[in-house]
Amino acid sequence: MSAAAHVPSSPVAHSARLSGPVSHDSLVVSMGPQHPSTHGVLRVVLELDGEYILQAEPVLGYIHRMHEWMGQNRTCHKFLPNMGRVDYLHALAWNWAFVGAVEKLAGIEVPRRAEFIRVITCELNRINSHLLWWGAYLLDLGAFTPIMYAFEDREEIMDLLMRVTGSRLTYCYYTFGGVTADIDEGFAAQARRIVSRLRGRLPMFRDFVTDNAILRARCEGVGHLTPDMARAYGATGPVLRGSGVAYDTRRAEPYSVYPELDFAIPTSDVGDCMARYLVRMAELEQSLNIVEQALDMLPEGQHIHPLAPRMVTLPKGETSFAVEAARGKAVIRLRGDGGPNPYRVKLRAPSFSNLSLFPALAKGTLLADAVAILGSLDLVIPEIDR
Amino acid sequence: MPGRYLQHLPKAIVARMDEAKTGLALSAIIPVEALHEAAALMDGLGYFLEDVTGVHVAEGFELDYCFAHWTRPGRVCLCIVAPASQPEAPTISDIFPGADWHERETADFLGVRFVGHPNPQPLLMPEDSLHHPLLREKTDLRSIHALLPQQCFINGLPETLDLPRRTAPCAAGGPSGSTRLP
Repeated sequence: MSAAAHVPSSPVAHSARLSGPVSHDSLVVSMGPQHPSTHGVLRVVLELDGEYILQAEPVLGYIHRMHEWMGQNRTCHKFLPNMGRVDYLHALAWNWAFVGAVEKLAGIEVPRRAEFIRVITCELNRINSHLLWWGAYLLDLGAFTPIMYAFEDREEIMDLLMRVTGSRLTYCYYTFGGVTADIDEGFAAQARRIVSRLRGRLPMFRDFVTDNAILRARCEGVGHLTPDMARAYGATGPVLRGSGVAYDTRRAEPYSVYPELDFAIPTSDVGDCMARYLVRMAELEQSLNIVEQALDMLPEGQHIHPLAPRMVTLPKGETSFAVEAARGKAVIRLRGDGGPNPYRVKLRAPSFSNLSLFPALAKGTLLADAVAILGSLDLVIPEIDR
Repeated sequence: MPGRYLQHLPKAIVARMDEAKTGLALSAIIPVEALHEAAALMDGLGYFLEDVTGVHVAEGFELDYCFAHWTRPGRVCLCIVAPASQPEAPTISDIFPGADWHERETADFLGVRFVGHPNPQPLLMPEDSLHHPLLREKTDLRSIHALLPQQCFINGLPETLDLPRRTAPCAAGGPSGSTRLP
């Protein structure tokens, strides 16, 4: 356990990263970690025969921060801000996963109003995440303009969430026993305005982008994922639902007030990049419905339990708490030993499992199609590297 | 339903869990050599692997393999304990290809070796790192008994592990038992 255990040595050849043998007449290319379509710092080593991919191997760890080590070396309250930095696009989902796990293990109650506030803000954050994915994915495929439209809508939601969370992106809003600040009438009114505005924008996105022939040509029939393969790799979220499996943690492992809300789980049986695209676009509408319902049902009361602890002591035992993040099932596994620090915190990240099937999906495709596949998985690298 | 099959594995301790508190429906502590068979069984029942969690405990390395199902409720955890003197486990990446990365990550963090792994390179840690960040100092280690008091154990105890007898009321079972587990 010495601090100087890392001994630099000579760099590893790109081809040594590949798990299979490399043919003598193929080309080994390292794509990333600085590449616009790998979003952040993902590196993929590819063996190419002309434009075709013989094998692909993601190389991870460029922004590995060892959140799990940090988790077991500080109190729950001190570790909580880390959660906004795991999946920075859907930070509130990881907020929720961690506070949910601690609440479950330590038996902390959450007021009903706080549960509704969590649903409203978490779904607004999911819309934000999907909008950014939409813009960035089209950017990957060569369409520049849509991201400008996406950011225009995204900005409004970020301004709204900033009112209560105090931050733009890496939120730390939920706390053990509730949320840190209550929402007011102004927040609710603005949220309703955003919902109705987006309802008007989505048909425009569909007409201009989703039905575009070039987009269809790039996405249809590319990166076909079968349900069997999705199960073998543990794929979740829109990646799984794009293969026809209606598995959503909000329904499969109900938490908070989601059982009281009426929403559908969009799926598509096709399993290609377009199917995953359409699932996310349909999820935007479902999230709008959820926000509106939750605003209607928002009860009076406290936003944080009066007995919410200032200092959490985790009892002995273990627990798992799963939430549906924008990218799929995010799980926190928590082990307490009776002290203030957790004995073990494990982060199960959906992007990690979703990326692990990329070598199998990319095999035999064109390099340009691999970019379409990578984008359709909606990766957030800090969540994979953790 | 998996409990019905898992409890017939030799030396398996299968326990129904308090799901509201632990998030697990079923926990099975099995010997290291039974892991591959148990994973194949979970595959046959249509479960998918959520992740692999390694915990450094006084007895060695506790590895938890969590499974969930698309249509069947309840999470199932297969737990093995690899002794500190022999930190090894068989790979299940031949059954669940997704286990490949989870095992590499666990090897990075704890130094556990996954026998038969097709590509045992470091995944998240630098390739030349000799450091396993989740290893604890000896004075900092807790026993598995101290960490898991809520487990309710049935069906005998493996000889290698000195685990407590069941502490909470739960279904009796095992090859000689009659009660069926979910």
